[in-house]
Amino acid sequence: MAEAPLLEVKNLQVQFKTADGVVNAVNNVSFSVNRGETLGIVGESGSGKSVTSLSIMRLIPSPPGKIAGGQILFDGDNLVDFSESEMRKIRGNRISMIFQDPMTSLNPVLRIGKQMTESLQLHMGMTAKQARNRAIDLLSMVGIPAPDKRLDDFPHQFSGGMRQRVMIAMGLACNPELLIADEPTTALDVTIQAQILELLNRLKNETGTAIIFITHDLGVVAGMTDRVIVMYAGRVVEQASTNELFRNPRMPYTIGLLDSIPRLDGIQTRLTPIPGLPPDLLEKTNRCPFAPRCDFVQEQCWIETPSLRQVAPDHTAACLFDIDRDQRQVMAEKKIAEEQAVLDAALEDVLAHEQAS
Amino acid sequence: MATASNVAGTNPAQAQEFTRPVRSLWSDAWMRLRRNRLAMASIIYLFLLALVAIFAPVIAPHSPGRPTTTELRERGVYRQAAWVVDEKNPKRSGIWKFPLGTDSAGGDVLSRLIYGTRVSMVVGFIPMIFTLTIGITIGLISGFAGGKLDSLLMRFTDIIFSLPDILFFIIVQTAFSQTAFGKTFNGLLLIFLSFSAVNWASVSRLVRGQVLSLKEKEFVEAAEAVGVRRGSILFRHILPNTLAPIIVAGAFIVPSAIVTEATLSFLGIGIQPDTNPNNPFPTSWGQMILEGKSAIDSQPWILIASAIAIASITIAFVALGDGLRDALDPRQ
Amino acid sequence: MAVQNENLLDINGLKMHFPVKSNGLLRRTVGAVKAVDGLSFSVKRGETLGLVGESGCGKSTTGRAILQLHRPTAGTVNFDGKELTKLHGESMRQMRRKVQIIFQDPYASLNPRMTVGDIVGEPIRVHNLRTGKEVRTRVEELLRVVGLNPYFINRYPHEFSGGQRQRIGIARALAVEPDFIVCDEPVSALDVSIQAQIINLLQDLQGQFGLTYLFIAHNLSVVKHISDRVAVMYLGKMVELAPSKQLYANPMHPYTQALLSAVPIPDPEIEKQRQRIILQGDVPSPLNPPSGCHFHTRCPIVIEKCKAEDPPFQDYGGGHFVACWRATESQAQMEKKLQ
Repeated sequence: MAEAPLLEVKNLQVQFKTADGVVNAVNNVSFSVNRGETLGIVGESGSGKSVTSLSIMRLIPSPPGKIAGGQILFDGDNLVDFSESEMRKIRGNRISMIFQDPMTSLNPVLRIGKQMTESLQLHMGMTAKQARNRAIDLLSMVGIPAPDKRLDDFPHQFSGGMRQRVMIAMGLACNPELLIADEPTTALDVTIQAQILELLNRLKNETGTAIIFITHDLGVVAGMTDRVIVMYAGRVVEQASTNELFRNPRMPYTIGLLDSIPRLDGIQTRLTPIPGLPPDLLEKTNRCPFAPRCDFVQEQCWIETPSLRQVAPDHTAACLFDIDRDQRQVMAEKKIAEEQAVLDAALEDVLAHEQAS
Repeated sequence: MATASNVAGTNPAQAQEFTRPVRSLWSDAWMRLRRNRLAMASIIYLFLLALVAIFAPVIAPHSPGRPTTTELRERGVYRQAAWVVDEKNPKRSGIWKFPLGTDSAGGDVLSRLIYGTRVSMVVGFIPMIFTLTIGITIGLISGFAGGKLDSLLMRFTDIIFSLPDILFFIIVQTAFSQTAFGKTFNGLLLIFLSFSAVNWASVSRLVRGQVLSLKEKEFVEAAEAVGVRRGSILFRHILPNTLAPIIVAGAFIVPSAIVTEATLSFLGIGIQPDTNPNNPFPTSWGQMILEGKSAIDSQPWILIASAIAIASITIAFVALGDGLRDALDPRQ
Repeated sequence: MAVQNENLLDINGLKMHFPVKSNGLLRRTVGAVKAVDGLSFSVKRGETLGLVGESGCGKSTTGRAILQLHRPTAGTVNFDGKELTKLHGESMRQMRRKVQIIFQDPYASLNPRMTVGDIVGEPIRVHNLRTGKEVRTRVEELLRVVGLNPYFINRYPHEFSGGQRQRIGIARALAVEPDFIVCDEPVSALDVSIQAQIINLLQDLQGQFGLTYLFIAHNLSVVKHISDRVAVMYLGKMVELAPSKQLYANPMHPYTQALLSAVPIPDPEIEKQRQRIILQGDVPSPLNPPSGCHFHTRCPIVIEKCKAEDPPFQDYGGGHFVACWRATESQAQMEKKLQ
């Protein structure tokens, strides 16, 4: 606790200009990552989780994107103020990133070996021979058989799982202090996903690299991370240690997510979905972004955007009320009854009106 | 049971959903096109040119035909544009009655330019319609039928595609321009046909490619799965989805046809000039460039005016084509 | 299991091979991708049969071959007493009323140039189920059934979110009042919070209209949740088929065991204690599948016999079918391996 965090994101604000207006993709996001820790970022498409990670790498396409405010403190330096050439010394060297689809981040016309040794020579000042030896070590470390031969293959000669291994090897090439993994297993089959997750877990213990693990899969988060932040509509809505978050979720959205996924070890006969759709990030409102879908919604939720507040030791949630998972069913039934009452009243109005005329 | 809150729209936050007007992909594209200033300027310019072409007899200050002897005396030949003063030869000095001067036969250059718009317009649009009709038909059949018929049609298309087109036009023009058929509409019909005969190949390749990729789309599979007949699948599901790239291709065919006609006329094998004042297509810009080239020293404005006319109409169509592509295919 | 004759669908020896042509001018056939290589199973009236497997195992092709969207290379597909592989032209078209499909990608499965009303109304029109104004009334009714506001009938697909589009696709499938629906990965393209909505909808509709589902997916948790029985496919073959609870509690094929152990469970405490069976390597190419049991190249408990002979797909009691030479001892052997 005494040690300063490796990465500290403070009040990050990212906007995208579109034809329909300004989209606030990331809204006042703050979190930190300690050395050697694995932080999970959970959210659905459009929640801002990928934009957040791209901002840390300063890879937001600009225009239309723009970091409109906040700080990204990496080892004490504010990356937001860094020039492009300063960032290039950080990227792939001290912070590296692996993506969902390795094919798009590998150059299809260059041999794997060439792509790996290039950054080693650039960042680590190795000779061609040293770099090649290091590349062979890295490939064998990520479990690629016959690494000295495969080094001369092109990306398309690798299977999806193998390609992701290559990406991980490249990500770890310069011993980064922080590795950002953006949905690294989403495109893979379950058995291959298991291979990759096992690999990442092993490497984490061996190298002590801090990892930001971005995913929509709560199962993967449960097995991989020490701490989790949940994002919704461009905001952090809950943050806690992984054990605490799964045992005692305190934000209705997190509760909703946990209730809506079928579990392999569960015996649910019926899922409890989150009704409705994620909000449009174009509109600026001061209500809670989750209010329209929330089973716990109160009057106050429509006029005040909740900010993160402490709900338990080392556990913050963006909800105005102290709620917990067990109350949900009761609240949901109450809400449905209220909505039904409103509908009934409207129907009666219509009927009365028809009779009158 | 599905609860009331599951029904999209009953939520107060989604109330605005109801007030939004319906937007088809076409209306979306039109909105994007309207935001493109260059494309809109082109549309306005081309619209004006179309008016000029239609109302040429009203707009043109003089008849495009051969002047009478008295008229010729007033006009002179190779009279300079109105703002050019020729002190050595007052008969050549520009006067505002003939703003762009006169040509070798005493024809008013501005009037000829105005009538020339007609040729460029029909020579742009009619071959486009022929080209698209042939290209779409062959592309649709080839892509949808597949198999042997597809191979056969595509080999044929490849042959047409590999023809050197300018050489082909020159051969056709020299072979047929003196026949009765070649003289129909001052030879315009021959140009239409020879242009279309070569250029459909690229359209049919485009359409076939579209059909092949659409055939694999799940919505086509879905139509098949609910029992929609093959004809309906082709015309209701596949054809409407190929239209966007076809429209863009069409917009680019027009300037290429205009330039082709100008090229052929410049080579002296395009449309045949006619001095009959009742002929709706007495002259073309390509011809004027040819004449202007030989009169470049005595009356440069024949060349300059017609070159500007061709360049501007071509640029306008290309800008419109680009605008349409951006509007119809907003993936970038 | 007493009465077994309540099968709506009987599939026997289904094979779907796609020829691979050479690139030359002659386009000779040089091989075949054996996407589906001999499946025999049946689907009972009113049940949901789950079909799981990893990408390339042939599960989606199976669904399309049943619907005759791909004509099977061999085998029979008997639906409610009719042999679908023998139907052509008009009789096939009529048959399409009874069997429907819901697709994976809600963006590709709706014609972007048609309104919702036209998309859902098309099946009604082509089969003359309603005429004139009644078509619209029926479309509105269907939209209500799938939880969409009929107000949106004139909108275009791109104006909807993924989940809403999937509802439109479901409404289209329901429009012909089918008995049987192939659900081809209907939720895997959707966000987590929307998946549950669609799963619940599918379950509601099944109860309401007495539908029979073939539910194809790669997500084992989802399949387990919705299915009465589950079949596992690997490289074009079925390796295990059992009642849902039975399969998850007592998987007998080593591949099923590995699949189940690979699924992450959203509970950190359970995750920490779990032992995973990590399969080595990748799935071999269906162009050239391994000899004997297709799984033998990755199987942790492989024996010599597996490399030479293809194990039969055999009932080990209670409708629990397995294709493995070591089915009865696989769990014990696997356990030993893990230690």
